[in-house]
Amino acid sequence: MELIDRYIYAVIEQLPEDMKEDVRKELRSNIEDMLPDDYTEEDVKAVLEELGNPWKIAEEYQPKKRYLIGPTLYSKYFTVLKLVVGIVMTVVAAVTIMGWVLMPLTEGDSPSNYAEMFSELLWTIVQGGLQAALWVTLVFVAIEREWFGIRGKIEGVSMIDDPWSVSDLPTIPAHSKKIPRSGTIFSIIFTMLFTAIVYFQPELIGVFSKDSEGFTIYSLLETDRLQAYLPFVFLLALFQMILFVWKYIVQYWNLRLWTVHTIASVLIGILLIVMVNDTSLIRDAFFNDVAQLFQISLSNVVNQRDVIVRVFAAIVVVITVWDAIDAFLKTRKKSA
Amino acid sequence: MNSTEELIQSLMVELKRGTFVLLVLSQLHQPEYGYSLIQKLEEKNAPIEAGTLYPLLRRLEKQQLLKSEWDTTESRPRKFYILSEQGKQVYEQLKREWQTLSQQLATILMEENV
Repeated sequence: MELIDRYIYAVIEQLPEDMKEDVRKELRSNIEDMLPDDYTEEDVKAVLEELGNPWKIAEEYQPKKRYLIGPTLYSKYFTVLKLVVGIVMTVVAAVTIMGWVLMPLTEGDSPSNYAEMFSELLWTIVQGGLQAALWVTLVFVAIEREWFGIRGKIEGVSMIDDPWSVSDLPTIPAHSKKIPRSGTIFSIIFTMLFTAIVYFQPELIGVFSKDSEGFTIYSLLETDRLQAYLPFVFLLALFQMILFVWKYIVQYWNLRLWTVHTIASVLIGILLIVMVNDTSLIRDAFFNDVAQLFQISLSNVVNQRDVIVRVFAAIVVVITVWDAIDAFLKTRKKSA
Repeated sequence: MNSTEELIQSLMVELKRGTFVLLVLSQLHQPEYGYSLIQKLEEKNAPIEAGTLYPLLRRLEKQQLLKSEWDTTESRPRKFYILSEQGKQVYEQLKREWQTLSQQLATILMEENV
């Protein structure tokens, strides 16, 4: 009877190979049991309709997990998904904007290029986000299915059925301790941008002046001398990036975070002070240019140099110390 | 159908689902095949849908509460199920749990009526 075959096929189609045959045989004999001895097509229809939707029966038979990510992992999945997608989109945006700096628009570019660049930026961000979401999902599916025996072994991914005691309770974070994610995202983009400029286009750092022929840049730094500092700049930028990701994830100040944060800003401060004190790092021509530009005498500018360096160093120290104290006070704040 | 009725419907399905295992185990001290079990339960006024019962039998077998055997002596081969040793133990225990539970519930629901 064709209808019976088609019904059975619909039930067993999605089942694992090793149970298909047995279910087929059993279902067939059960259906035939339900039919009268000399049955007509009408009888078959009645019986099959009584059995109901074959896909529903198939679902009852199905021994495999009928979901990608189960309820125990679901909320963890969403937390991690938002986190990773957020970070990846930020970094992708930063890298794209960096690309703009490395290849600045030339003069002939029409405004339509800006629109194009902008839509390209959006598209890249969306793509990055989708990629990240895909991989996070795959990892969680793997955990759910224990593909690589990784269930529950990922740090911070605690399972609902894990043993639990009162000491595992999280402290309620005080709102004043919060590190806003928008700020962190801004810092990530700014750091990547700044590092890229120092690395690839250091001549852009300087004084800009506009005249009838367009922009002129009076570069501040001696590019050859700058090379010596690049490894430190790179390492500190990397350090900062890791720190930003950490801040993005935990979102609240704590003592360990503060310690690393302070080490990073002290190192950056030291690097800045060493750099401004390095006389050969600043182009000699820069003073000439600036003297000309602002129509002050060269000797005046050079005389001011020591003062400027000292003021700059003092500002760096004050900002670093103030920032460290501010962050420290935030870590000490009691939760409301 | 209004939403209250729908809600009652789906809650009833959930409530009943829990009793199916006990119902099926109770009838399998002697071997039965799918359709004979359906008829038996129907006679006892505890009908269960065929589409629910057949997969359930298989699941219980996989959990080793039931044993099965194909009988090919008759014109139509039939798969017979019967309680395993473990199945018997589980059934006795479940039955006691059910009796306690239903007594507790009955007492509580009686209080409510006063």
